[in-house]
Amino acid sequence: MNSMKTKILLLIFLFFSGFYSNAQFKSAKVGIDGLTCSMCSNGVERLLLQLDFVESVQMDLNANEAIVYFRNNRKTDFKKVSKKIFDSGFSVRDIVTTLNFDTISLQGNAFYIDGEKFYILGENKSDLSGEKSIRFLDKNLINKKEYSQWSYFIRENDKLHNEKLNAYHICL
Amino acid sequence: MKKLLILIFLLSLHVSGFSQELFPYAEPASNIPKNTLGLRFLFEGFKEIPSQRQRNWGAVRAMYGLTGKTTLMLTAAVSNHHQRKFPANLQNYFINHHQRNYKPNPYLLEGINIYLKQRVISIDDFQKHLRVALFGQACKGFTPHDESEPFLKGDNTGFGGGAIVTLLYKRFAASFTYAYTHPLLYKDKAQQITFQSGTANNYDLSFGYRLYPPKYNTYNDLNINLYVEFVNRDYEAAKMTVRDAPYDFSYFQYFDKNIYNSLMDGKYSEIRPSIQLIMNSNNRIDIGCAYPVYNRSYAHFYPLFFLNVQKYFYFSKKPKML
Repeated sequence: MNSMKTKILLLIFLFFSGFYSNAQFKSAKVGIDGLTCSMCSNGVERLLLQLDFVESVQMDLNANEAIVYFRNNRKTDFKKVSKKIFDSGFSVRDIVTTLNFDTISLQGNAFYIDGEKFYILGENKSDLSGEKSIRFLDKNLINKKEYSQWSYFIRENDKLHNEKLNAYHICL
Repeated sequence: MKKLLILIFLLSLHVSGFSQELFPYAEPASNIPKNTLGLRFLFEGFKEIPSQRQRNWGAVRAMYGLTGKTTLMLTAAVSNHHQRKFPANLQNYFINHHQRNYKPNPYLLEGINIYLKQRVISIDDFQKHLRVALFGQACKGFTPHDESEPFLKGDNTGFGGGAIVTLLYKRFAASFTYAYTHPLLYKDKAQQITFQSGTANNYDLSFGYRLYPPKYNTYNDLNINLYVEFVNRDYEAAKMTVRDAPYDFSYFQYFDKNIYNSLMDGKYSEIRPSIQLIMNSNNRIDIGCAYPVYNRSYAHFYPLFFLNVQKYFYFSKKPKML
């Protein structure tokens, strides 16, 4: 009986994980602050490549940006991407990625991808369609200066929606 | 002197603004990436005067990023700078050990050093940063150091610490290091000799500039960086006892002024210009030398040449994909 339960749970889990693993993020452009030397860029790239959902990394040594390509069968975790930038000794300037809004069902200003909740801030959210580029606004996913400008709106948004989870906040 | 240094530092910030902070002599406030291992071979050599003997110092250093902000370094050093023990005839030793006819020093394991650095402030912006780090270090020396100027790179058993401020702006970098060095008493129980080197303060200034390439094309671009570093040190006089009686160094000034000065208190500034080559964005070679600009260090002779070779090893924890 017990093993039956486990099997059913496993089946449900597999069903949902299969459902959620419809990866929406193909790549992201990560701007890195405090970086100038190619040896340091090499360090950033090597650390990003340690993430299991990262397929490849293309560093722009002059603009200090990393284009990170994601694997399509793994869940993308932008907090882990940010952590790797800080672990390599630098800071995140911004993270920009694209989303196809035709495949997303908006509930107010919120939507889900891979079980993660996203809120769109500072934009008229009606009739979003097609490929749109988005920027993350959360702490450590954007530079301190811009985060301090957005933090008020993030707090107000979370109060309004009674959001207690670590949802992502983005702008278009 | 201190005020002047601070002034030069502040002025230089205005003049050049500040890329390369991979200083050959000084440690920058920045760290090695997390879970990354760095290996560095260090060499320093100079001709001893008047013996014209080559004096060499070499070390292996392992560096590891405990976190993105914490670096741990272990260094083991070998040199022909010391005798195994102080010889029985101390007077003959101090007067003559820089002479050609005195028995040369063997190569010995000089000491091991442990160094921990924590970055506490980071203000990062596009192609620039300001960082502050605190560090502490300790050294276990295995040989008798016979000079007042202390070193935690192997010579003395002791501890020390300090603060580092590093600025980077595009192709320029500048760093200021304050370091305190406290050597502990060397004891030779069998011969009833103790030797105490002085405590020292460092106010070091380092500047770096990326000469080539002006713009990167690939990781394979050979990087050429130029550095000028100023070592500014003051230290106390040495104290020695033999069979519990203070040993008087003043007698040596009539024989070899350098030996006498090497036991007294002092302060000096030396300049360390160097060139650095970085290949494939990982293999790093530094070549440089040191010259005195104000007084001199009596713990080594000039010109002093140094060479560092370094490589980082990154560990991939990524599971193999089918």
